[in-house]
Amino acid sequence: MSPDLTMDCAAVRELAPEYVLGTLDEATAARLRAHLATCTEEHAELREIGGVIPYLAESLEPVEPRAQLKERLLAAARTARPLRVVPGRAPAPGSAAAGRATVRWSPPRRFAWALAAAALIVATALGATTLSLRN
Amino acid sequence: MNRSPGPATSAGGPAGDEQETALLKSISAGELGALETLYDRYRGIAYALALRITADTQLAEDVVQDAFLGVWRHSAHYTQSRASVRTWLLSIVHHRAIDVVRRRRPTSALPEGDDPVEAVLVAVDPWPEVMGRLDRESIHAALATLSDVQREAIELAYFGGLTHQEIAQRTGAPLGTVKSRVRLGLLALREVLVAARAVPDRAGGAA
Repeated sequence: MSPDLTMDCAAVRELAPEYVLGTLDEATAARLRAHLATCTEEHAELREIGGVIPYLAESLEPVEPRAQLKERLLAAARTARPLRVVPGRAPAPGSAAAGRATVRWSPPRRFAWALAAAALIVATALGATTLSLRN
Repeated sequence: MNRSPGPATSAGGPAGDEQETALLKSISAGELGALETLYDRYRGIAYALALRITADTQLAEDVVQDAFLGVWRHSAHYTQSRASVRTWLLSIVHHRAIDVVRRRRPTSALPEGDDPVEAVLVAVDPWPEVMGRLDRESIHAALATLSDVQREAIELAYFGGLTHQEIAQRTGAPLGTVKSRVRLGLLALREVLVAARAVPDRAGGAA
């Protein structure tokens, strides 16, 4: 971690391509976000080149994942409920802390993951049964 | 230039965005069916992206599951995003997949988070698509206008998760050259995509 916690506008412009491509190390990216949260400049260069990034993913031909993935996902989701926003505590949009302090857990995390794991085992067993029945 | 939504007739237009926002609202209300709908809509492109980056079916499945679970549990984050739900989701998939491949590399030291998906959601910063939805052909055509070295540098960064320094080492090009290839390549891509958007009938959203 660099001791220098500040970043000037020129540095943001210099780092913009790596930032939007997602290859900056997390410490540097966090400093860049901290700069954006307080900077009065628009930093249009980020929006300019950042706006083409989604098309890189969209250039790919979709690939169908295995059907079991959906079962796994839904089994895990059943035991980990969505987090709720705590009213009145939302930080300014785009601030470095955005989101972090505004959500809280529904079930205790460890318990939720234990449940998710249990559900996954059941789902896998069910999936295996279904497969063997089908074959 | 600031307006990202395309015409109302395209899948990525305001009407589509409203539907997606409603879907996300249902997700944050804990409706499992809404998560299933979102998954069915985007599993193909999400898995394609994860697979391209990780080159491993098991890792790719884990990444996709983590990303959708992240959306399920943290959909409240979406209100702070300026991008479409699709782009937001793909940003999470991308970030998570890059994280996974970088952790596999012996040279990169990344901190172990107690909740990697949450860390990704805080870090992810999706930018609105400059031109709304474009079909794959238009995107391929746009990418084909870049020079080979520009395209290679951008792809090594985006799909390979390589830093500019690592791209320089990999390709044998000086760091400064890599930097300008990526920057000029992205700017050129933007120009071409804007032009593609201006041509009617090429810009319909692929359902």
